[in-house]
Amino acid sequence: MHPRKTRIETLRAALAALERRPGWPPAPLGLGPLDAALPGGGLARGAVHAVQGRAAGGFAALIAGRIDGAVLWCVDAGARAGLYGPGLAALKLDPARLIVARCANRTDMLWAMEEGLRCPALAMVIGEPPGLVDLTASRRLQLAAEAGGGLGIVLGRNRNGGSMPPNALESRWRIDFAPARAGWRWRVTLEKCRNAAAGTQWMVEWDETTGHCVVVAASGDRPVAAQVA
Amino acid sequence: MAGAAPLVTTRAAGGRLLVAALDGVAEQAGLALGMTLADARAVAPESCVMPADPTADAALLDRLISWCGRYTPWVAAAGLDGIFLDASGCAHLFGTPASRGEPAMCGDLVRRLKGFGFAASAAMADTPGAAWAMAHYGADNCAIIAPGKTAAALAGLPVAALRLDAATAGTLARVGVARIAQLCAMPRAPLTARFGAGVGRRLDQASGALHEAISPRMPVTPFRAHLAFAEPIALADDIERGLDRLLKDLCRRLDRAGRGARRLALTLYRVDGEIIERQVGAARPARDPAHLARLFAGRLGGFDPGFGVEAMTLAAQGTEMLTPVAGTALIPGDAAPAQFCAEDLAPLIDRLGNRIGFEKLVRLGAHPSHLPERAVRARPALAEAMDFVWPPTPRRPLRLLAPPERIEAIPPGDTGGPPARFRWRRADHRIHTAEGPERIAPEWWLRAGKTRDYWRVEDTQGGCFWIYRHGVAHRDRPSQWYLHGLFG
Repeated sequence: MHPRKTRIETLRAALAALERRPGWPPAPLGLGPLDAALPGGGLARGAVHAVQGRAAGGFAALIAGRIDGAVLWCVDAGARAGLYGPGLAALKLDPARLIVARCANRTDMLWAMEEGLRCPALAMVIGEPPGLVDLTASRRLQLAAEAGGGLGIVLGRNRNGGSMPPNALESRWRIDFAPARAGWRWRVTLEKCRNAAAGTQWMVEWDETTGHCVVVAASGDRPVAAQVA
Repeated sequence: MAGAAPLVTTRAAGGRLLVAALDGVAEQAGLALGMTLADARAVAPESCVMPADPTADAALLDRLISWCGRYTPWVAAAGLDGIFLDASGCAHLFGTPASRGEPAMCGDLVRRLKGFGFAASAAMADTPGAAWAMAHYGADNCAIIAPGKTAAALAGLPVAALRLDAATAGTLARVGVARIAQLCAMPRAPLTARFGAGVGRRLDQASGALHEAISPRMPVTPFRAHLAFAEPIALADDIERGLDRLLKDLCRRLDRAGRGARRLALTLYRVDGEIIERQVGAARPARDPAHLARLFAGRLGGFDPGFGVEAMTLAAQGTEMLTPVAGTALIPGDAAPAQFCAEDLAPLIDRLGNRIGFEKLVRLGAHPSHLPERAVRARPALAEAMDFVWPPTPRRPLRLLAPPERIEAIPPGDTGGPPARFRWRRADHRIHTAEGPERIAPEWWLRAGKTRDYWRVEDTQGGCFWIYRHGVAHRDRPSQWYLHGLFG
């Protein structure tokens, strides 16, 4: 390896040791290129991540299906569309591991998410708070996650685009449906990530019959930076 | 009371107004129950007359019954204007060290009720019947009848003290039986033949020959802790500290019995007679004081302590067996990640459930049905795992709309396939790709519903929907389309 690169690596390791939460091992997604792009080889535990886009819920379920332990999913009690067991099971998330909390309002939902993140018996907490997750709310969630070591996911409301306000979340993803000939495809964009390069895009293809999920080579609309590299 | 106007309440009966209740001044002025209002006005023209309100009376009595819970959990209404308290084993808790016991408790009760503005009369006896008789017809307003002295105490009272109806008591008086002693001396058989079994039964209940059960207003639990304060407390911190003591006491008892609480009710008794109740639930039986205290933590605020709280009780209203289990953490290194450990999750579920409601915390249970909306049953958060799981079915949405929402197909004609565009919630969606159809038939044994053809469609804006045609396609008439689920 290049000497300069090793030096950067050592510096990064030293910085990581100085970070507040070195304790929790990251949760690998089982998708090679995605894991490679993330610091530590997976989604950071003891942290909260934001997932936006039209297919955000499916991606959250996919992550939940790939880690062990109980999952708490906080949904809006007033929503007409409730989580559907067979749909989750198709994404390999066993509904027996899932507790659904129907929260009446934003305050209750953020509180329930915090309580869930603080609880070490839960592996993951997914929430879809109405309204935007601002700096205060995200900071509180992040602190709760650091205390409990769980993996938190905030599903963005603004499914049609737009950006989240500045917040203290660990990473931000955008997941959209992509045209596929068969089965279905997600366009996964890592928009922001602490300690990692952002802006990368992948095509994740999901085979419903086998339950396999693979990263396929993006063909047409690959970002320029990725083509050069 | 001197100089006050007589107060009577009236009720309408047969087109007349009758006196329904009256106070002591009115009684001294010569008024009586059941008089017509016209007569009452003639006797005491200065009377203050108000219509009777039986509903409000009942509500007041109910609140007083709740308040009496500070003396004993075994409290019940006695008619429309009385309260029974089963004071067995409670009396020694009241009064000063110098004078403890029944007179102290009875005196305390009457004094406090007088303080609230009630003209109360209390009596304590071996049987409910005797206590009722002494309270209503005794000379003393705080009579204590020593055990075994019941017959002697009742002998001189009028027969109406046996809770007989007015007609029976009147007839007995007319034949010259005015006192209970006379009634006792009479042979029982002719009495029963003339008046029915009621008179004999009331006599036996008063003397204790026949047991009379009092059914408490609230179920009485053996797991109950009580704390009375020498001085009323009002600070939230003090109340919390009191709760901690109650919890420790209660949990010790639960521990001894090998049980855990599912529902806890905390009652705070204010000095002015108001009571404040707070309840919490637990998803699994629990007896850890710290955990239970946390459940109450969010619910203790937001009440007005008034002039202070003088007593508090904590009752475990629902308990279940709770046998201690060995933790898995005893063997280090053997901590295989559990998929779902109900014991570990119980504290979290309790906290969430007490705030957002236990019915809002669910798990999605599988139900053997091929109809999409019937394949899921919500189950309690900590229910046991089910044997049945869904067969792997592709093309199922992540979220299901309940009920399905009607969409408008554009153009309305049916070509056999999905529509080119549809309108849902006032937004147009142009279909980009469609996968299907998947035909789902109704449950034939129910003979209801129509066949549905499902498509998974993606629109040009990147949304993914699960839509169906209700019924089979027909060339001549437009089909009805519904949106049933959302992917993502």
